[in-house]
Amino acid sequence: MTMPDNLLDALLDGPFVLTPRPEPVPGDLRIGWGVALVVLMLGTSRGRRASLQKLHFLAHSIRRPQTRAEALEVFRRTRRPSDILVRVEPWLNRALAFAKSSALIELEGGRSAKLTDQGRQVLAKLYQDDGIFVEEKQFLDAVGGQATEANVEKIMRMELAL
Amino acid sequence: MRLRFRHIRLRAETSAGTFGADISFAPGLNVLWADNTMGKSTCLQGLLYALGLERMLSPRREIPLTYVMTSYLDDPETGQRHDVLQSSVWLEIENASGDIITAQRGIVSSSDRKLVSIFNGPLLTQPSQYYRRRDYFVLDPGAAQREAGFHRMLADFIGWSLPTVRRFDGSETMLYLETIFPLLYVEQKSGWSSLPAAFPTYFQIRDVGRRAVEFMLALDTHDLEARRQQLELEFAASKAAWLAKRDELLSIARVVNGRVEGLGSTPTISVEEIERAYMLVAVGEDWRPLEELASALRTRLAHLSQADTPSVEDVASEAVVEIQALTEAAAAQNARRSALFRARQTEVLQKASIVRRLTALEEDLQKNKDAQKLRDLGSTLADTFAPEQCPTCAQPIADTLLAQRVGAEIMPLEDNIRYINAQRGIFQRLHKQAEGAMADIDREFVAATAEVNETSARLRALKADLVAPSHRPSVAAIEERIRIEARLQALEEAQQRFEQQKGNLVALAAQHAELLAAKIALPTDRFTAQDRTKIARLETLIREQAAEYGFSTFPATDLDISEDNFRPHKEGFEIGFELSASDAIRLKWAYQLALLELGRTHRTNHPGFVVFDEPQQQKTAKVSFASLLKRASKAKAAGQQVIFATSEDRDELERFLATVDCQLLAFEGRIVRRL
Repeated sequence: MTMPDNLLDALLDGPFVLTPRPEPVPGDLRIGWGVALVVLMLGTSRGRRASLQKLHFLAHSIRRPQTRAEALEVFRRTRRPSDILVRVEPWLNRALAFAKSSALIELEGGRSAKLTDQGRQVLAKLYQDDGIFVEEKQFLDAVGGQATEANVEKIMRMELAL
Repeated sequence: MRLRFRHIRLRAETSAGTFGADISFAPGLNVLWADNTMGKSTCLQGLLYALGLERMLSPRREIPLTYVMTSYLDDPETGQRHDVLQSSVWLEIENASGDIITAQRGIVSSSDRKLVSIFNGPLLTQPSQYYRRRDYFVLDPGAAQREAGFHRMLADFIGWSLPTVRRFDGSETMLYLETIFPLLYVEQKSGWSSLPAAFPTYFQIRDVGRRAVEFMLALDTHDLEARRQQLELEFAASKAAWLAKRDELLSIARVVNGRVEGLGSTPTISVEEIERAYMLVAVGEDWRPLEELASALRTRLAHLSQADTPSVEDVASEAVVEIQALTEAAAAQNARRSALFRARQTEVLQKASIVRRLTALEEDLQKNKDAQKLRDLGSTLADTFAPEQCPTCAQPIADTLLAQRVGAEIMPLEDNIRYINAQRGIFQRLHKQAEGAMADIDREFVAATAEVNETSARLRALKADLVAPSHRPSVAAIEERIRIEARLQALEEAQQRFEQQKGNLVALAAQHAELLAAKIALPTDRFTAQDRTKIARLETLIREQAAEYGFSTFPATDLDISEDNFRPHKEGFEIGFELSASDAIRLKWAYQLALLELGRTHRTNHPGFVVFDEPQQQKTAKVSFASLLKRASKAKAAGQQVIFATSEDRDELERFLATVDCQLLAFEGRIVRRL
């Protein structure tokens, strides 16, 4: 059996072109979403300031309904800290970097972040619109005062008792 | 259908006495002559005001009359200015059957301006105190529809039944008188600038001009459109009724573990097709026609009941064989049942995973929408939330928190949202399919369970026979007979109900056939033949007059009437700016008179009058109207009326009119004067 010179041409009855398609990106990996989340997390923290550890903890917990429910249970002492696995994800670091370079936050000694005045204005804007970050705002309100630095530290060390 | 103006009376009470005007209109052509600003328009607009039609001119409810009737007037004798203390307008009109009524409406008045008082007689030309008076209201919502609404009364008086039309928002309303009268009354200002007329648009009526002309010409197209919409509704109802009946048939079949063959989900009009439909019943893994199964059972039952119930002894050897066979069958049936159960479990898992995927997609969609909103929050935040460049090094970046890769193109948010929506659509369809598949399995599972139960009951009976004393009647034989009887009864009942419901389907099919026939009978053309002759006649009349009046922009024979909006066209293009000012006026005359004249030869809704108030910019476009007046004077013979106001040079006018049959109403000085 002889192969035609170009098998593709023989199979197709028209020209064949490949074009790269843009990649879809999950909504929570958009720059805007991440930066806004950083602002919201800092906005609900004491002194509009939080450690990177706490930010990572909240950011991990807030993204999915299941992780949100689990985090709440841990704070309510109905679930062991060892049941949740907090991941330190690079997207949050990038979001922090963008937030910093847009002058919304200040990074203090590479350990914690704090909202700037401009960041506070953005925070107010985000709270003005009831239609966005509905689930996320609800979670942050529910976690509220319990997500103190001390508590988060205990959770990360799996020391929070039931 | 006719409306004729008989007499108008204007009255204004001032501190210096009563001022006013009385004008009697004759049938045929009436030429109202007075110098400019002497009150011609006041008189003509008095006609509109008396009929509560001022909103035809503007949506504001202002009085369309000059200050003479609304605030002050100058005494022509003394030159003194007097305030108007009270004023009103009276109008006597007559309809086709010779009924005469008189409308009175206050202008400056202690009573409500929304009231029109109607006297049921010629109060102005034959005063009498015995005419019955009734008040109607205008301007308020409902004036056109409610019993006490003046426009409803006026439409009845003229003999119009006003059509229902659609608003822009899709709701229905009626064609208001204010939208019809612009075809009959050419107002001084905007009246001349548009053809067929300047229709008020604030009633939000779709294609208001077209609807008004259609009504005026009494075209069938409106009825056609209404019938078409009605038919569509009935079609939908017919389909729904069919589906409901079909569902009933399906559930009858389900009761006996059966299904229906030969009934589509859309109505059929073939009675044979419906009659051919039948039920299949599950027997093991096979489907057999219900009739066939029933007759097999009937034969078996007859056979069983002919003989006496056999004793255990008689059946023992057969029972052993049957037990053998049934045990094998039971094993097969059980296997099939568990296979179904496993299939169901798989389906459940499948469905759960689809649901999980759907939830994840919903979440992602929400986050994408949040990101989109953030970007649109405001120009100041746009750079923060959707940077196109790195805020630090100003290099272009992709909108993602993943590592920035060279050459990777990121889907824009809008596309991403569409992309997620598309996926969601697919999973929603899959979800539906999974539910359908599960329902199928459930049905089969129920049938299989029934079968297993039946087999084990039979097995129990047979085994009972084997251990019973040999002279006892066979339990298995009795069991079989009872079982077959019960099954047969269920099948027969189902069959009977099935046939009954089929009868209903046949009735539905007949209805549907009628609808189809009605739909086919509807003309495909928007216009009926009669409509076309009317439009063609209108076109001829307009061309004829345009030529007579000296229309010169292009040959009058090139004029067409558009079937879409009834505007004059030339070779398919609307006529607009290329018209000279005088030709625009000639065309206006031609159009409005053509509508009037069409009513003489064809059935239209034209009330048989036209009012022309001379254009204000008459100085710039001085057009000889001798031939217009001549043509308009033919109205008299046809029992129609044309009222024409002008301030043309009086001598010249009288020279024209010497040979024309008309009534000249000439006023030197002011029309409204001291009485």
